[in-house]
Amino acid sequence: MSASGKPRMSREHALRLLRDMLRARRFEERCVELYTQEKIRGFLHVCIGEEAVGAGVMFNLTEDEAVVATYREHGHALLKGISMERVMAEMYGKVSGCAMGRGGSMHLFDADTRFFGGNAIVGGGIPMAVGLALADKMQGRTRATVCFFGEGAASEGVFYESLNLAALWQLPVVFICENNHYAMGTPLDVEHARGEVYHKSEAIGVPSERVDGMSVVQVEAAARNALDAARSGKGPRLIECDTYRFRAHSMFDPQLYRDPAEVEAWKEKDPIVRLADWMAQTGLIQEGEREALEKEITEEIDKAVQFAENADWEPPETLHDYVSLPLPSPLAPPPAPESEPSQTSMREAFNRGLQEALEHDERVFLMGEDIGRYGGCYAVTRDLFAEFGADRVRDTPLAENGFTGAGLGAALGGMRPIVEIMTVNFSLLAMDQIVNTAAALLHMSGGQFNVPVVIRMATGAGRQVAAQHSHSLENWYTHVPGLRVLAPATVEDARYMLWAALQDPNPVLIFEHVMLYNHTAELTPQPQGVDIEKAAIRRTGTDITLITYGGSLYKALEAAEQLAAEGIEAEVVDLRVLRPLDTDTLVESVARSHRAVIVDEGWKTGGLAGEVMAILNERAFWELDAPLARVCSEEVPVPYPRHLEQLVLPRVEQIVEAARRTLGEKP
Amino acid sequence: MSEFTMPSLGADMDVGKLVQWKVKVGDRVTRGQVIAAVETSKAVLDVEVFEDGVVEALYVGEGTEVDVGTPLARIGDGSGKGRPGPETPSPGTTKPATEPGETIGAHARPEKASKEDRPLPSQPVSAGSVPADNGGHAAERILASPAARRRAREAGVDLSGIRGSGPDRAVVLRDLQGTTPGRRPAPAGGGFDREQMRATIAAAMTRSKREIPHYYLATMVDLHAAEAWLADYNQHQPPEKRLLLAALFMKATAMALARYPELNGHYGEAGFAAAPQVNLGMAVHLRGGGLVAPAISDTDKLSLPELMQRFQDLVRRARGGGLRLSEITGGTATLTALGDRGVDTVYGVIYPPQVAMIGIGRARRRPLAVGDGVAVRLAVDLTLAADHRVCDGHLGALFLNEIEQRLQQPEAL
Ligand SMILES: Cc1ncc(C[n+]2csc(CCOP(=O)(O)OP(=O)(O)O)c2C)c(N)n1
Ligand SMILES: [Mg+2]
Repeated sequence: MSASGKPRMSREHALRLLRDMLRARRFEERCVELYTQEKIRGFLHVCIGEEAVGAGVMFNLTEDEAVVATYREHGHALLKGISMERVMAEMYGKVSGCAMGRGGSMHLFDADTRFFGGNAIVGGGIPMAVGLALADKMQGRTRATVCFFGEGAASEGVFYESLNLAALWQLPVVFICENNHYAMGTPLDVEHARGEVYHKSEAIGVPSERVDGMSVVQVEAAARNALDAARSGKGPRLIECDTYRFRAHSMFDPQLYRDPAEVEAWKEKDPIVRLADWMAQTGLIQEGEREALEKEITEEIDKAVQFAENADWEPPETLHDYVSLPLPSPLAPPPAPESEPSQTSMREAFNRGLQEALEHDERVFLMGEDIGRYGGCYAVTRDLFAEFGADRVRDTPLAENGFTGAGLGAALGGMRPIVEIMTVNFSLLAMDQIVNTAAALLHMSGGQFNVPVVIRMATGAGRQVAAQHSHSLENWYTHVPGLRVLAPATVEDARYMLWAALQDPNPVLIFEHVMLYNHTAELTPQPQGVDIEKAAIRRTGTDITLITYGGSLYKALEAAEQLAAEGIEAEVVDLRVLRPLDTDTLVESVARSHRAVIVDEGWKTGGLAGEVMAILNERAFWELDAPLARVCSEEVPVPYPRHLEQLVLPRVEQIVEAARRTLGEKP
Repeated sequence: MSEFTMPSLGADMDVGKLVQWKVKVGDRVTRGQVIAAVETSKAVLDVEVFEDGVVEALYVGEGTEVDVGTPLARIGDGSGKGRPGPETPSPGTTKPATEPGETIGAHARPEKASKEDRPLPSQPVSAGSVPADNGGHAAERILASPAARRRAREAGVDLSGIRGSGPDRAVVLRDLQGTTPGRRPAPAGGGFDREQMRATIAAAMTRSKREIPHYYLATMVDLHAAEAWLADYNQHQPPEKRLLLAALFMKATAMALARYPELNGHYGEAGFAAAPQVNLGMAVHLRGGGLVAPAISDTDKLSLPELMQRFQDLVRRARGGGLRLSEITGGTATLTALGDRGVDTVYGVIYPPQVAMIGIGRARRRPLAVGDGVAVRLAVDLTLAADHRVCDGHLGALFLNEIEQRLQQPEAL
């Protein structure tokens, strides 16, 4: 704006803003129509009335600057540069869509223009944007990342977590809050005790301002400043755009919560009308130009509809494509294996794996709570802070969902983050980012965005830390397609699995059992048979197979010794890769022994042991010579007193007893 | 001109009720104008048109519920006013799930969720309508592991006579391998399933006649010496310890088998393998129909009294249903005796995978040339059915002669 308060801008500049807003508007109007004809299905959230925000911000972005948006993102996607044809085909669910048709209206993606999506989890995209900015900063780039979200998202915890990280680390990210006064049908004064979102972000430490979101010129000017600040290393910015949606929240919304008169009043401020009128007054637009513009846009839309109509459906044969990308084959061996055999604890083995990764791959960095100055709550990251510094051994605030999401974002931005979550219990606070984003992103984006993040966490009971620190919830994650879940239980796996996991282009979760950290054994110099795809047979035997993983491995091995004294030779299979399960090894072992007992520290109901039994039933039924049995934890929250805690967990004598029962009468 | 159809107003909307027309025929409408109110499962919503034009016809009256996509009105330039409506816009019209000419296949449009008017069964299926004899079946069900069932099926073995040693006394693999000695006999009355047994015999005999090229030999054996020896022996024994001729036949056969291993063993995938021991099977006819051929292990090494006792035990258990699988599958050759059924000669069918079946007919007195004269002597027809893949008639003849010789020296049996 000029000093007189009157915006001064070139004809081309103004025409482009007008054109951008009109493209978004007309496109969405056609989408509404197509929805009523059942061409577009599911949810459809249009931003009609709010176009000034997307247009004003996007105007200043370079092509390689990333955008993270919400489910109300058709305009943003178009203006970031995805062709209307590919967006429309996506709306139809066709394979030529910008996410192969798999995402639809709420999940538009495009790697070429670095459009990191639509995200249908309110607030879900915010930490991803923080992570993308973190990756840029760590790699010395000077570009900004833009993150759009509604004022509704500013009620979510992840908003505070993410903004705090951005402010702490002074990241080049610009947050755009599209405050349209409603979250679905909940009005602003029912959402927020204080309606000014920019006050909240300001208080967190992100310089913030509020602008008239119905004025594309004002939004554009504010965005330009914010982006410049971010690009020049001044840290994050937030712009709250005061705006309004003219239409319903989504197609099915009778709008019982607002007065039609209110809508009409806001329509008076229609950003398109406003800009067009001003351009007419100032002579920036001439006779016939508007009509020509409309005609051009209508033609573009018609062409896009035609394209979408003619496009193909994704064939069923490719349904499973891009759930995960394949592992590189062969996996590169660890760059600095041990030179001497030595007695090593699991804790040391994990530590050395991390140290090796930090030393040999500059994209690798660690982040998590108390991993640096404190040395890790289980001391796994001890001394790494001193060696590699605060940037690469990054202490985070208590914000599991936020920093895990930032980890995913950093992975998307080219880094190889290793995120530590203190225990699986706490990981439930990060579950949204792991399950809804990390695991789903590749498939949902039609194969465009893989997330090479490694997330480590402790699991299991035995240290008398009671119910909220002791559970084995691995199976919550093994349920989810798109994740690889590892459970190293030997010093060798602890030492070397990490290097393999870092080569996986997909998210990998590593579960470290707390009772194994002190387990000490000889670590051989060269990795022997470490891999992240196959189960390991830890003891051979012909009479029965004991299937287990993690903290229960040594119980199963001890049970096998006791059984051997009775003349029963048990094979012990260490699953170690909990997803995808190496079913072949299980089936082959049981085909030899004809019997199996599964030992799993998780609870029985809905657990991993049940899954293994189901697989054996499906694939080895005619080999079974006795009912499958399982030994799991008692179905109670793990109690504190030692005698009760021990009572809850699988015990050696239970395993022996289950094996005996399975074998029937003594031979 | 276009049809204005019941719009889809949400992912979960299949039908809508037209509650109000806000226009009438002849009205001019503009794009975006609300022309009707539609009630869905959630609320009443205003619906708009997406073109300019004139309402030429209203097909559906207020208060009518129709499927999404059903034409509601015609919008045109006004010239078509009064023309009749579409073919079947009746209330509740169900659209076909796919358009004509469309195939449900790889590239067809995913079928939209359609509520199928599948009639409910007039009466709920209650527990009572489950066939009543289900429970009875469950009680008789033989507990056997999946692996044991498969093995039994492959071996053509009936599981009903086998005592299980697995969990819940289920029959498990080791019960079929006979590796568990000293098992208690099966509970009395553990009979057999006649149909199953017939099927088992049918399968085994069909296989035998299909796969095994049998050759047959016969000879008559003078039982004078055997009879005399037996009478002498039995004279000093209490009734339960007396021997039968059958014991002599068995022992003589077993000893001959030990001498001619080409007739004692199994013919498997890799050809013939002679057995290291002689387990002579005895064909036992079961009351009620059926046949089993349980074997006595190391038959050639047992003394006659032992053999007699084992034989009687075997017959009793065969009929009572308490055989071990090792007894059923462990035979290395089989003896069949049909003399007490009143026939002179029996030519057996080899029991696969064995390679020899020895037949004993009726022992009866007949005139025999003895020295230069004719004497009435007890005699029996001894036969051999043998597998020509393994040996020839020459060897079979030697074998039969061997049995005969041994029967002439009963004191050496
Ligand atoms: C975590 C989560 N909770 C609830 C929803 C359901 N939902 C979808 S949009 C929405 C309102 C969001 O409001 P706001 O952030 O202001 O964005 P707007 O829709 O106004 O653009 C809600 C509650 C969701 N998608 N995700
Ligand atoms: Mg909102």
